[in-house]
This record gives sequence, structure tokens and C-alpha cells, in this order.
Amino acid sequence: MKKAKWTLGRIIDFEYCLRQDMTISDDNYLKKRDTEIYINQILPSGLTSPSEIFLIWLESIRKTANENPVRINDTHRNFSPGNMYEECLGLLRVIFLIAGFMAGISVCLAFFSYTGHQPLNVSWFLAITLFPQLCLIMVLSGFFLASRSGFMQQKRFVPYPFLGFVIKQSLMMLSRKSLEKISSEKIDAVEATLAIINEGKQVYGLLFFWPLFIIMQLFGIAFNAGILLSTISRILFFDTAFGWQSTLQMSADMVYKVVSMVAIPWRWILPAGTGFPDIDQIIGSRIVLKDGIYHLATNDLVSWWPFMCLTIVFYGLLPRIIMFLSGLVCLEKSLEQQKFDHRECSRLLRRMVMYDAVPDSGKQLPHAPSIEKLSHAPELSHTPEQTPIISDTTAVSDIQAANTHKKPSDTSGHEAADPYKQSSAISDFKDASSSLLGHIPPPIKITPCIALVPEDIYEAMDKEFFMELMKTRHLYDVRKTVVVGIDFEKELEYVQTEYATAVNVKKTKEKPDGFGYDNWSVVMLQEAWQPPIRETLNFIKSLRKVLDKKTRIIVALTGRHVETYKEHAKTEYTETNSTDLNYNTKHGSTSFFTPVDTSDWEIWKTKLSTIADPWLVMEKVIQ
Amino acid sequence: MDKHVIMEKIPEFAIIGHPNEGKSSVVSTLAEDDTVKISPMPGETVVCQILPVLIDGQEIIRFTDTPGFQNPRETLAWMKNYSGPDELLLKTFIDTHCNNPDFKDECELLTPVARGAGIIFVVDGSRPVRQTDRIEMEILRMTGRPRMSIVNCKGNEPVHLNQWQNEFRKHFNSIRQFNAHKATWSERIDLLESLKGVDQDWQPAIAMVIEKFKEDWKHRNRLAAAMTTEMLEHILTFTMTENIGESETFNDAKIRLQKQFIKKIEAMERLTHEKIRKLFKHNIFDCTLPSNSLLHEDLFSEKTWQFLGLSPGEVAIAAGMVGGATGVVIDVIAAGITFGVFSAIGGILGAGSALLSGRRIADITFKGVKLGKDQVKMGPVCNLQLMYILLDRMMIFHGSIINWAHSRREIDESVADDITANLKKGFSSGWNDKTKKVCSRFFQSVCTKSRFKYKKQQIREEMEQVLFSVLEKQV
Ligand SMILES: Nc1nc2c(ncn2[C@@H]2O[C@H](COP(=O)(O)OP(=O)(O)OP(=O)(O)O)[C@@H](O)[C@H]2O)c(=O)[nH]1
Ligand SMILES: [Mg+2]
Repeated sequence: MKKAKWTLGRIIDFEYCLRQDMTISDDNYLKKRDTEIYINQILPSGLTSPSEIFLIWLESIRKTANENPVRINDTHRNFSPGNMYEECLGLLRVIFLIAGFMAGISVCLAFFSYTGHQPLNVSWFLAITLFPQLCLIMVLSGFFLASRSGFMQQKRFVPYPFLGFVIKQSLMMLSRKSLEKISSEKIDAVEATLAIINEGKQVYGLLFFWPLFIIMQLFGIAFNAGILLSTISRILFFDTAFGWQSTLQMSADMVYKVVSMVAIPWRWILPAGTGFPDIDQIIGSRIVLKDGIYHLATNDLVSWWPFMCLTIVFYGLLPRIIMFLSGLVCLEKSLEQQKFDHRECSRLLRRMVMYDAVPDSGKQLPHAPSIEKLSHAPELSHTPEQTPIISDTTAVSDIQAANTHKKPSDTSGHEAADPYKQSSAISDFKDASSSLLGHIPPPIKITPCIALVPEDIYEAMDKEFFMELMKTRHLYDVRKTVVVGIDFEKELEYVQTEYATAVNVKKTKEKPDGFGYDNWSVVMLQEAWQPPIRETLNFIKSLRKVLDKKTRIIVALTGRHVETYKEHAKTEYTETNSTDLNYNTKHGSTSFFTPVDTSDWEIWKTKLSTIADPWLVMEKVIQ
Repeated sequence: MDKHVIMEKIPEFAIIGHPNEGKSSVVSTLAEDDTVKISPMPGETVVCQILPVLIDGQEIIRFTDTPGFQNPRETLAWMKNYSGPDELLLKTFIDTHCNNPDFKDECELLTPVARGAGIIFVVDGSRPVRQTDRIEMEILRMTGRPRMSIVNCKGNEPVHLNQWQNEFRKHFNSIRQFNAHKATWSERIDLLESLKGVDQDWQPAIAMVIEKFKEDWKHRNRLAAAMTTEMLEHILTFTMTENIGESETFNDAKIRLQKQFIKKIEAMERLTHEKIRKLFKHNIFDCTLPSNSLLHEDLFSEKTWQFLGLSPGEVAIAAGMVGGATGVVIDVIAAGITFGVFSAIGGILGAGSALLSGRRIADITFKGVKLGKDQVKMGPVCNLQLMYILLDRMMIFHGSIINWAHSRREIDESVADDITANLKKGFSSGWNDKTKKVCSRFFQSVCTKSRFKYKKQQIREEMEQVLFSVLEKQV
């Protein structure tokens, strides 16, 4: 099996699938599906990096979609906008190649036919063919540098919005042509693709810029090839004389100096006389209009053409080829460097592996520490019905079924467990409590985090339980709690220093493994019923500024605090409903946390989406 | 003198609070304006909206809906650092921040306060107090404007009322509970009463406003009573005549006419209800109630007849009071049949009374062309029972209209339940003898051809008066 690799098309497909998943509200369905993929395909492969895992996931999703094209939530799953995008790029490449070539030829032809029977004026020829190109390259690299150094937004990069437009149009055309029946969904998919390309800049950087860059270089290469070809054929098939003429008072000496300077790149193989005209030939080929051309020696007149061709090769063609190749390399590198750690990715990853926090699965995983260690956490055993880690028993049993179905023999169980060994080696946090979940497979591990807790609820909530929840349910190890809500600026400063020291400690003591998943994150606890006001959003934005660009910020939402209901219950139903009362007291006072209202969740989602931060995640403290 | 106070300075109150606490709802209810935008999405209101209360085309008080606080912490921090003269605090704040998008909402919501509006601070009593709320209260305190607070309970119970009240005591001149979605007219008046206590200067003006409010309410009820009386007159005396078609039997024509007749009566009733709805300034709320509600059912359906109106015995008594003209009713009671007999107007029509008459105009043929036509006439349905049904329905309609807060936009189950309960009760059966007597006299006067126009008019006025006092009592 050849090793699959990420391509632009795959990335678009991947993002497209993630987007589709976002529209599915049935969490259990997604969880079951992804866990199955994980158990059946990813675990046996032994791959651990997110990039590899997601690739397998994508293949699997696409395969099932192709086998039984079902409509999920009114979207067609067996449709690949990525393929369409690649097709479209291929088409554009051909079109631009041809267009460049034609343009090159027609520029030359125009020039040749204009000059007619006179000897061709070399300086004019170069001015027309080469000079604009050189200028263009200069301007573009200027733009490029400016955009790289942040002086200018990348999207202003002149020719590329235009190219983007061309891509959009051709995508539309392609999609219309290929399938008219489900055109509206296709159009949606095209829109989604464009959105992925547009919005992906934050996550994918220049990734989607490179194909455009490459296409431009193809055009340049073809253009210069066209010029070269038509020039050479002119020389071959017509008796062509070249000369020079200047309205400036330029001596032949001067011209020679310039010419030999231009010829520096090839002077060492093709010296004066062959690679470029020598001083005598230059004198001999000077066109002085009033004298006519009859006094000029044919030999001298012909001596120019190698120089011309080589100039085009070295100043037109070669730079373009170099840029083209470097474009290819950059694209490759950019693909390789993708970390796949933005919000939807981490959500997917969690969906795939979170089953593992289920106590029962301990039996299945021989190398995992037994679940008895959970008794570290008294709250968990007190209130098992609240422990979110067993929230999804159905999915788990299905998975178990799937797993046994696939690997009925006992021994294979050990094979399957191998990655776990590996994982516990990678994710080894030294403190005892984290070993609790040491069997969580890579690349997910318990990551350290700083928790920001509003002072309003800090006193009221059960901190231990919160930390336990974060660790078992969300795999965040709360190493530091900062109470916020009194003076944002000071608190931000504090978070900044705390974060800086934490990250530094990490960088020096623990070896970085490049996954991006073991970075520190910041968990911000919020009450969902409090509408997110601008102040909250601004706080998150400033928080982002004091952290790294890709540090995950988790907004952990909890529902309405029920403690007062408990008091109510006490007075009203003292005798009648003691079990209820117990329930209330326990949950009201010990946990503080309650499930989030769906409408509140939607409100937060809408408001937070205005920040457009791919590393900003929303979680429910309790499901 | 008092009039001048109002003319010169109309009291203005800005309704201020955290987003999504129900500010727009409170304003909508207070100003009886159901065009105010209300939405579960916080940040719905982005600009101030002034809602003047007009009585007789004259503005007597204005409520201003404002956006919610979006940036309270920084706002308070700025105000605490402010060192200029107190009276310029708000103006300076607004001038400094008007172009800063972060303070857009604060500038907007403080603008009415800066121009002298009183403050009504709205909070949701079903949620706990948070730091942000304290900050907002502090901001309002620093404005130095007269202010009161309203606990508008969005949840079912004001669970955190005590906590809120403790907080409020530090900052507000007056505290009131006011449920925007459930507030009745009298609760609105109560709220206005407590506005008096917010600022001495406004006391006379607000007293005046309350006076006007009460007058206006009376006026509306008087109009509603008149409309109802008119409707009764129209319906009870309504007749319809139709030609019998060429190829139609008398019976077919009868059935056709019956349908049209019923439709017409229904339309007349609906028109009156519509007028009453407009009278109480409802544009959105309509008694197009869920189908399980009886009010929505056909006026002449079996159920309606069963549930509305008087009990058989009461009909007899009412009939006795009228004396005579009770043929149908007595018939029924004598037969010992329940209301089922009246299950449809067809029942009455079929009873063979004078309601229906076929008249054969002499068949004159002129040169082979028929000139005459058979006609069928229906009505008037001079039926005491029907009158009481219409009255009951009107009472139910009126009752739900006046109790429907203008901020309440969606009709839920509870409304339908209320109405069904009311229907079972039957309003008119609870009326006192005097009222019933007037009704019967009115019925008689409408249904008999009397030559004394003057007397008719007098009875009609009596009826209006009686209905008015009945409506006034409705809560
Ligand atoms: N049940 C109930 N819901 C209410 C009540 N008052 C307001 N609501 C609901 O609360 C939500 C917000 O009400 P609004 O009146 O729009 O709140 P607001 O304060 O104007 O909100 P913004 O304009 O966003 O600042 C709406 O969905 C209302 O239906 C109430 O008394 N009872
Ligand atoms: Mg509003």
C-alpha cells in the first residue's frame, strides 16, 4: 500500500467533512462513527500523529460515503469538493500554459512584423519581451516581501484575488457541467470550498496561495518559451539581421560594457563573440538611419542572436523555472507542516478517542491502569450518575462489539494495545493523578492548562470536582487557577506571566514532540446563561493576544446554578420528597455544575463565532 | 397649572439593564406597544427607541427602550477616574466615547439619561446577582438620576428575589416586581404609582399620567360596551332573503341560505372583536386561539351551545322576567330536552317558528317568460340564548385581550387553558339580577317592533351602561 499523503484536495475534503459534521446535531451518531473508525482502522495501523490519523479518518469517511451515498442532514456525502478543486487547478494549469505560450508568440510576431525588413533592433526587442517581465517580478517580490513582513495583507497581493475569482468561476462551471441534478448542493459545496480557501488562511497559512503562485509561474515559463521559440524559428527560417540603435548618445564601448555585464551568467562558457557580440561586432551592427544598412557586415548583424536568446533564457525563463520549482517545494513543505490542531480537528480527535475514558474499557486494554485508581476522586464514586465519562455507554458497547467482531482472538488484543504502551511513554506526566488516564491513546493526552474562573462562582463551586471533571471528561489538567472578573487588565497580565513561565518550563524540561496537542491551554469557565457581552468577547480577544496564536482557549460553559433551588426544596418538600431533596442537595452544593441550556449554547456559539478564532473551543462542563 | 407641567416637560423614563433581561418587554408592556422588537438573542436592541404614550393624541409620558450594557467594567472604570463636574459626567463620557465601537451601546443607553430621563433598571429575578450587575448598578448610581428597579422574572419563580432586593437597597429609590409578560392593567398602574416615589419633582406629572391612564381605560371599556350593544342589535335583528334558483328545491335553498346566514353572523361578531382588539392596541395578539379552545370553534357548533350561556333553569328565569316571547325556550324546558336541541342554528330554524318563511310570489308568466321567483327568508334569530352566548364570548375575548401583555408575542398552552376554563364558567350566569334584567329588557326591546324610538334609545343606553360596569369589573 503506498503511503497516502495530504494534498490540497484532501485538505479541502477534510475541511468539508468537518463542516458537514458541524451541521449534525446528533453527537452520539458522530461519536459512534468516529470511535469506530478509530478502533477499526487507526489503532491497528499504529499511527499516532494527528495528520496521519485524520488522513485515515478522511479516507474511511469518503469510502463509506462512496459505498452508500446517504443523505445525512440533507447533504451529499459522496461528493468531493477536493477533487473538483484539483480538477479545476489542473484545468487552469493547462489553460495558463497555453495562454502564456500564445502570448509569448504573439508578442514576438507583433514585434517582428512591425520591424519588417530592417534589421531587428535588439534593444527594442529586449525592452518589449524582457523588461516588463523583470519589472513584474520585482513588483511581485516587493509585494511578497511586504506581505510576509506584515506590511500588507496577503489578500491584497495583486494578481491573486483575480486568480481566486477565476478559480471560483471555473469551479462553478465545472460543477454545473458535471452534475446538474443536485446542483444546489453542488453550489453549496463550491461555496464551502471557497470559504475553506478563504477562511483557511488563519489555519493553513499560505497553503492555498501556492497553487496560484505555481500557476502564475507556469504562465511565465510558457510565455518565455513562446518568445524563445518564435525568435529561434524566425532566425532559422528567415534571414534575420540584428542591429542596435540608440537615440541616446551611446558609444559602442558603452554598449559593449552593458552587454557583457548582462552576459555575466553565461560569459564563462560562451565568451564574447559567441555568447554575446564583441566590441567589433557591436560597432559593425550599429544602425545609423541616414547611412542605410548596406554598409553593415552580415557577420556582425548575426552575432546578436545568441545573446538575445540567452538573455531570454537566463532572465526570463530560468527565474520562472526556479520560482516554479520553489513554489512546488513550498507547497509540499506547507502540506507537510500542517499540524491539524485547530478547533474542529481537536473536537474530532476527542470524539474518536474519548470512549477510552469509560471504566469498562479497562478490561479491554490490558496495559491500561485499572479503573480502581479512579477512587482517587471521591466525587466520582459518590455520584456516578453524574460522572460524564460514562455518558455514552451505547456507543461504547457498539464499539466493543465492533472490536470483538474484527479481532476475535485473544492475542490480537495485545497487538491492539501496543500503541497504548507507546502512548504512555509519550504522554508521561509525572504526577500521580495523571496516570489515572495514562491509557488514553495518542495523540490525545491530558494537557496542562490554566483555568480562569469568574470570581462570582469561584467561591460557590466545588473546585476539586471541577478539576476532576476537566481531567476526566475533557483531559485538561488544571495546574493553575486564576480568579477573574475584578480587574481584567491585571488578570490578563497575570495570566500572561503564568503562561509564559508554564510554557518555558515545558520547553526546557519536557521535550517538544511537535504535535501541538501537548501545549498548554487556557480554560475559561463561564456561566452559559449569562449572555456573552462585548466585554467578554474583548476579554477573550485580549487573552489571545497574551497567549500564543495557537494556544487553545477553551470556553467551558455550565448551566444555571441550582443551589438556591435546593434551599427552596428544603422548605417546601421537607418530608414529602426526601429523595429528590437529596439529589438536589448533592448536586446543588457539591458540584455546582449543571448542563447547559441549548438556547444558551446556541447564543454563545453565535457570539463566539464572531471572534473567528480557530483555536477557540467551546465545551460543556457537563453534558 | 398642572397641565402646564405636563406640557413643558414630559416625564421620560429610560429602561436600562443587562442584555436580554427583558427591557424591551417591559417597555412594550408599559407603553402598550407590540411593535417593540423582542428576541431571545441578547443584543437585539441596538439603538434607543422612544415610545411615547399618547392619550387623545397628546403625549403624556415617554418610555425609552435602550440597548443592554456591553462594556460595564471599562465604563465604570472611566467614570471613577472622571474628575470634572458631576453634572457633566454623562455628557463627557458620551463625547469621549461616541466613536469607540467598544462603547457604542453604553453611549447609546446613557444618552436618554444624559438628557434627563429617569432610570428604570430591569433585572431578571430568576437568576442570581453577579459582579457585572453590581457594576451596572454602580454606573447608574454615579449618574445621579432618579432611579427605580424592576425585577422582571423570566423564569417561573423569582428564586433570587431576596438577593436582588438586598443589592437594590443600596442603589435604588424604589423596587418593584413586575412581570413583563404577565402584567395586567392594574399592575401597570401600580408600577406608575411607584414611579411617583422615584422623584419628587415628577409627582404631580405622574399623578396626572395615572389619572389619564385611568380615564383612558374607562373610555375604552365604554366604547367596547357600545360596540357590543350595537353588535347585539345587528345580529339579533339580522334577516336575509334569497331567491330560490331555477332548479333548486326549497330545501336546498334553505340549507344554502342557512350557511350564508351563519357566516354573516359570525362575520359581524368577528368585526366587533376586531374593533375591540384595536381599541386595546393589540396588533399582533389575536384570539385566533389553538383549536382546542372553544372560542375558536364555530359559534353555532354543538360545543359552543353546550358550554356557553345560561343553564336551562336560568334561561327559564330570564325568560320569565321577559314575560312572553319565550315560546321556544319554554318548549324546550317542557320537553325536558337538554341544549342538544339547539346544537345548531338549524335546530332553531327547524323548530318551525317564524324564523323561516318561504314565500311564493305568484307565478306570472308573460309570453312564456317567468317573472316571479320563489324566495326564502331567514331571521331574525331573536333568541335570548344566542344573545347570552354572544355576550359571554365577548367577555372572554375582552378578558384575554386586556390581560395580554403587549410584550408577549407567542401564544402558549396556558392561554388556551385559561379560556377553556372561562368558557365552562360562563360569565353571564354570574351576573346579578339587575344586570340580567337590563339584558332581558334590551333583548325584548330589540326583538319587538316598538314605535317608541325614544324608549328604545333609553333601553339601549341602559344596556351599554350595564355592560360597561361589567367590563370594568373584568380583570
Ligand atoms: N417568560 C418570560 N420571558 C420573558 C419575560 N421578559 C422577557 N422575556 C424573554 O426574554 C427574552 C429577552 O427579552 P427582551 O425584552 O428582548 O430583552 P432585552 O433586555 O430588550 O434584550 P436586549 O435588547 O437584547 O438587550 C425574550 O425572549 C423574551 O421573550 C418575562 O417576563 N417572562
Ligand atoms: Mg431589547
